[in-house]
Amino acid sequence: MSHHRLSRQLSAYLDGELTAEDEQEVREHLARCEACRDELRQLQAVRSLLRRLPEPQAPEDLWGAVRSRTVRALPRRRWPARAVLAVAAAAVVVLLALPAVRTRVDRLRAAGVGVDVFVREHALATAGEPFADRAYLGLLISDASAALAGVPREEERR
Amino acid sequence: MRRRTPPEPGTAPDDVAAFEALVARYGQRIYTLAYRMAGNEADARDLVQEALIRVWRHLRTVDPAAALEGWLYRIVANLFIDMLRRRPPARVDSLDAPVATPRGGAVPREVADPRADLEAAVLDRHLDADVQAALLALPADVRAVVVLCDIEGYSYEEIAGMLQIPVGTVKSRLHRARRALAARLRHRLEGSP
Amino acid sequence: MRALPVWSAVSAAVLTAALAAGAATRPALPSADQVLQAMLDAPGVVDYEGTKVMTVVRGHRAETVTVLEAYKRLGRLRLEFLSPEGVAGRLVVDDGAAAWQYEPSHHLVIQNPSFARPAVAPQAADVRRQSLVAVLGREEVIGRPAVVVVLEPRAGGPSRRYWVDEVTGVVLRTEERDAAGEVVFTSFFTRVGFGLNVPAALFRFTPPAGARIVPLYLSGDPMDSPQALAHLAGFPVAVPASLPFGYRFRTGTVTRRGPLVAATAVYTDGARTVTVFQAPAARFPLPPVGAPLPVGGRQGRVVEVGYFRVLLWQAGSTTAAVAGSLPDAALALVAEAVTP
Repeated sequence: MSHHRLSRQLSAYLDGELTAEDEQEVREHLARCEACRDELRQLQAVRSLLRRLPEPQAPEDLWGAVRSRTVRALPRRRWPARAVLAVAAAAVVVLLALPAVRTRVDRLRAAGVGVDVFVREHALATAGEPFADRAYLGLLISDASAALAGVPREEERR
Repeated sequence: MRRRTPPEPGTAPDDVAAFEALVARYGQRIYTLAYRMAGNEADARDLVQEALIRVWRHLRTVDPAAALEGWLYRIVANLFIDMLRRRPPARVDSLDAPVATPRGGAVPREVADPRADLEAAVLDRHLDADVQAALLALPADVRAVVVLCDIEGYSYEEIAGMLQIPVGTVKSRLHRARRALAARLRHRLEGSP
Repeated sequence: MRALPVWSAVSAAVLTAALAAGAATRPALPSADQVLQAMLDAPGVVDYEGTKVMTVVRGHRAETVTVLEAYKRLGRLRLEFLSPEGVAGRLVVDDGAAAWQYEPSHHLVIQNPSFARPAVAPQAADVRRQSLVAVLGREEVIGRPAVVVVLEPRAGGPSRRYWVDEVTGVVLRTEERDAAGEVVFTSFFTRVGFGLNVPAALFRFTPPAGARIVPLYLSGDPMDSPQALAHLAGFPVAVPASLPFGYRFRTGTVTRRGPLVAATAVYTDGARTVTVFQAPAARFPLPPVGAPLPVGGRQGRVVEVGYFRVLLWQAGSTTAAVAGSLPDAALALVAEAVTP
């Protein structure tokens, strides 16, 4: 490849998006070509500048505005028969037969801080287990952490 | 209302929950994309609203296993290009965008800030404004690629899928974009590694 | 009324049907070792994001939790809870360095340690040493072919069935049964997408403006020997190097939380974990919780947490607790081993 053609590969080289051979060729060219090394440094600086840009916070009222034009804008209709949700729906129907209450919270509340600490530390220690359910451990840990951080249990909601 | 629009979702709990979850997850990121594309809050707001209304209308037809974000981002990018076609380009260069100087450089608008004693914050804000001005100077199709790659962190292949262009085009647009940005932001890059 | 056993009976029927149908046409089932290896490899191989429904049954009550779960190699995790009301809106983002938790109702951010532990790196052989493993067959889960595998712990305790995605090794569905064979925990994806590149931005967390931030680290430096832990505790504790059922000491620390000071020892059998806590009884009276269970002639109490259980008891001047997924009799044996 010519210098000109190689210099156009520099961005992709930087991103690791070249094939192994092209990458090797660019690397060899860079070792010889001061101008391309300079250009690579500049491209890298631009990329890191863009990566450091702060995230513009969406205005608070935007989501309300979106809701009022979507989920709140339409008349009530029949339930959808979405294949995706069929599995979940079947499970929910079965489970609705039981009072779906968060019994764990009630049980743990009386135990005070001690049991929360034990549950949390054990769940964190368990998180390394190969077949642990990440979502469920996350729930246990976040429940216990919330209690330890002083979030009142949800008894008021019932 | 356009033709061939699928039936709109009702207010069934499943649809509402699915939509709310989608807004909670992707809302801020769609806004970031929209803001970096448009360069100002008003247009970014419009874009996000239009995009999410489209998402809501098509909620039933989305394959849940498919790459949802690619689809969302394509909607935003297409809307943005539509918006540019409908409006005179000057509209894009609005209040909170920096002022372009005749020499092609850009200076941020001077805005009084009560917290201006925080030097770092001011520097950040100016840096942000400089970079945003340089982004706005790029053609929209080139800007979309660099925003998706360097700000949103997608791979070439993912961007090609989102914008429905060949990977080679992603590669060349990105290179063009970075070179143009390097030229415009030279003063910002000095001293950077 | 117990509804879950009905459901499991249905799934057993489906499984049998799938087995009968699959036997003639499908390729041979993978071996237990191959399935275990695929499960162990999955966290390093593939990213995913999906909607998961979990149900936990205790006694005569059940709860259902719906969560959006996204995972990125290695160990980054994002959980957005959708229901029930008590947890709806909670967000947990584990960026590999810390697990950030946001409670929108209190505008509160909690900084937890990352869930990604320094790898215990178990091998398929470790798993087989502690559990009987059998491949039951093939079944479709949300339209994907999955291999059904069952793990029965040799020491007793809940058996677990996993529906393992044949392509990725990711668990699509889990079912846990107690000693009586009743389903006590289920977890399954109602929707999942796999990729090699779930966006990194999903696993970054920026505290919302004005939120209160509470750091909740694990307290104390980890001790790598039972002696060091016993020495550091500052009150009498029993820290054996090993426990019944092949559990060996892995690490320990002195946990401090408000008025509570406890020596914490973590034991592992290569694949599962048991944690033992000991605290001065004067500072930590036995809480009046859970169901009674005798420990070496003393009164103990068992708290069911769904995935594991905590046995608390008092001996002399110490209040102790052991947490793990073992049956009552095994928990009591472990408890006796650490009673001074």
